[in-house]
Amino acid sequence: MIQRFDVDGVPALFTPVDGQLHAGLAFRAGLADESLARLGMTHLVEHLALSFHGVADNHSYSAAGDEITQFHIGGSETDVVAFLNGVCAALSDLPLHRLAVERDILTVEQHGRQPSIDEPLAGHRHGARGYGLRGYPEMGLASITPDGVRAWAARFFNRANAVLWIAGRGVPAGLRLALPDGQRQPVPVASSALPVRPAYVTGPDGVLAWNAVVRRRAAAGVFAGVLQRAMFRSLRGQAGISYVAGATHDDRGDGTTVVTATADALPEKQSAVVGGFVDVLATLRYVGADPAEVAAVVQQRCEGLAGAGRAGRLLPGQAADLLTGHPVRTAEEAGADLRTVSAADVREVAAEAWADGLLMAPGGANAGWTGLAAVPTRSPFAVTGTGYPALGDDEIRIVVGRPGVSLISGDEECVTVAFDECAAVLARPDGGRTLIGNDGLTVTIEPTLFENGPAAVARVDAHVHPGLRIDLPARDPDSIPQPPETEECCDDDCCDSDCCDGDCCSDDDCAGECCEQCCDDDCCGSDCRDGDCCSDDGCPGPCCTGGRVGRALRRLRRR
Amino acid sequence: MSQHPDVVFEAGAAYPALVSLKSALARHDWPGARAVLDAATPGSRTSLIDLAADEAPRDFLENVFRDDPADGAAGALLGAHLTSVGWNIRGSGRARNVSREQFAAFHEWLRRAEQVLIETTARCPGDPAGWSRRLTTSLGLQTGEAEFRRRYDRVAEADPHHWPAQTSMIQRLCPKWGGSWEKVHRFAHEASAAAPLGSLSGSLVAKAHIEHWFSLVVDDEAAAIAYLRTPAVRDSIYDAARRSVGAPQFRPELGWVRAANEFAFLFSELGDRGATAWLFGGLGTLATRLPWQWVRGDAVETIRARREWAR
Repeated sequence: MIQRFDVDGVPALFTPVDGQLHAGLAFRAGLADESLARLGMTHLVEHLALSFHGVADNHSYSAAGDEITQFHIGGSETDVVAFLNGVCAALSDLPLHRLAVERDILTVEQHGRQPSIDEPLAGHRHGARGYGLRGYPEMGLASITPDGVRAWAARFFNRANAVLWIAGRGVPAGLRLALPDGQRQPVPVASSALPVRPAYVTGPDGVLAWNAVVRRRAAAGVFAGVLQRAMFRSLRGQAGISYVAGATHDDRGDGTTVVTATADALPEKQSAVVGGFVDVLATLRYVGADPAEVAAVVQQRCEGLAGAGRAGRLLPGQAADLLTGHPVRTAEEAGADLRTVSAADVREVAAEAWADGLLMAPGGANAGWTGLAAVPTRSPFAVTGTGYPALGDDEIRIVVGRPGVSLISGDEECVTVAFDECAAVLARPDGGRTLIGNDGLTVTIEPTLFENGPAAVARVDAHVHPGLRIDLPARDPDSIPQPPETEECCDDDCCDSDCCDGDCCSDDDCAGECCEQCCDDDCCGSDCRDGDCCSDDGCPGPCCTGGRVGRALRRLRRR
Repeated sequence: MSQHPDVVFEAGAAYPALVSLKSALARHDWPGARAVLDAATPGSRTSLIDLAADEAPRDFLENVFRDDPADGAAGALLGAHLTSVGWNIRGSGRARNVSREQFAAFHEWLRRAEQVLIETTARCPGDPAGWSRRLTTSLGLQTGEAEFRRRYDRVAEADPHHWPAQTSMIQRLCPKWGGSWEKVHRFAHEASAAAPLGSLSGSLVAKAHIEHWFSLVVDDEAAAIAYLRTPAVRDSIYDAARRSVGAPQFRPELGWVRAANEFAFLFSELGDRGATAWLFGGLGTLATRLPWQWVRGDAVETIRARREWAR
């Protein structure tokens, strides 16, 4: 049961619950509203709002998600009133004297944080903006000014952009939500950095992650439940190639649901995890789920909903629905919807999910066979303008023009960041610059490595909007890259090959390719164009074809 | 007709079912094709699909598969056909002799085949033919050893002693594909020991020794023959013959001509005229190019010479 009313002009949802009082204040504010150059803004507001709170023996909690920021507490009426009144007071007059301290705390928090396996998918799918920002570190913290944070709080943390929820015996006396006036903020529009879907990228070793954005409906959540069971059965039970395999779903305010699947893999089983997962999805979309399995998932969900509804645990999600313009539904209503879901509905979701999917394959596995398109790591065009050749390698050059900057290798490959599609520029005092495009591609300019490098940097600085600049501290002088004195073969220091521990087999100079154990093409059925096989485990591994820009970038980073 | 009536390589001469299957496919008679395939043992059925796929009319197979994607035979045949088109473009030579364009086309056809086979194995998970075909695409598309093994396990689940898949596994485990001789021989020995007496799987040990011999003979003929004559290798070849072509329970399944030629080759290398003659006697004029074409010289001449020697 849900009662709805207002408290101090803030819409409120109330579920009567015996036992401890829980309450929360939710705002339509999150990471997806931010920009890369000021990333961390909402998190910072959240921390500033709680800085009054200190150490308490009640259970309070706050979190900034993609779309919603929640302040939540369980405790006595006095605790709840003190907490929520305090949060509102702090939000209407942020304790900006604590800005530097809270920034430091967030920086420390970030260092200690373990990112979830699927986080990189966000950036690959959406780029360096909106819903993609979850895949990036809070690199904007240092650039956030008192005025900036105040304006952000006024825009997002106001009365019209908040919902209160309470699970308890009644509304606690003395609650004063003294929030400033403002406006409800629309749900962010999802950007796409994927020219083609379904697609894949290669991620770190040992883990597979996949997500898909589907139309939001009851069957989407059931699909996630069925997928979870199928993965567990197929990857763990049947093939023994994965230990932790599962799937979740998250509703978004824009009427979509993100289904996410993750699985771990032993190093020697990575390729089988890709195959097993692709086949699980194939079964679900071609054959569908067993109706008994669908019924079991529905039953489990309905029981979970009913319990959560009685305990008031659905309220945070209901508050989010209200904030994003969706109907607030009771456990019974949601359960009734779930019970209409058929195996055919789940199969339809599976087909939709496959078509939208983004797979992050484990590092050592080849996913090119799956029929998924590789996510581009190059730009389709280079800018024209002034060229700055790399010192000691005339194949590589930086071009700075009016529209943007390109790192170009040879005649074919380039990475471009257009100035009007630039998400942020990381700036070192020594002149090092990294431009990050909205599509997530980056161009790094080390002025020490290019002819007239400082001039290139000056031109870039002149074109980039100052608001996109993130100043980084000075580097240890030894870590500032220096141009190569001589090119000698081939201990990775001078070699631009991909082979991390292979030998260099070129006779003439360093730019030669590496021979991994297998790969003199004699035994290898692979398509190594010039013989550079970068598989760790022998011949049939994927080869790095081309990849000069990638290598150039790696080389620049290494230096 | 064969150019040399005493050495007949045409598979149809040994396997009338293959002739029936090919002619049914040529006249777009799917019920006729299915009748042939449905009558075969699981292993022979997969081999028939492999052998008929290359010449099968693609449009016809695509229509059959589109009309009934749950027909595992249609999916496996279409997948095998697309794979075969790709491999014909690549050729069987070493990677260094294959052009970039050839590789691109090869991979493109194999990816098309793989899409069909992903669907067919999803719809017919208990059909070993689709999974067996995915072993070949796994090799060409370089899915990795663990993925190959996963696919093989699905074949074995459907049919534990599936000879066409077992021969693919031997290939995959060879050093040329990143494996090792130890893995090859261990697999061959285990698969052979687990198989019922008189089955083709019993001959896998011999096939493994031929692969090993071939890897040596390229550089050193004497070392290759010395390898075969090692007592342990020699004994295991005789044992494999007793378990397969020499067992009283032996029934000629599709693939038996290849197995018998392999034994005839091995026994002739070992200098055992009696055993060689016995195999050539059973074969009559039937022959396979492999392994004979791995011996220096012409396969037909080699077969004739060894028959003569054993007589």
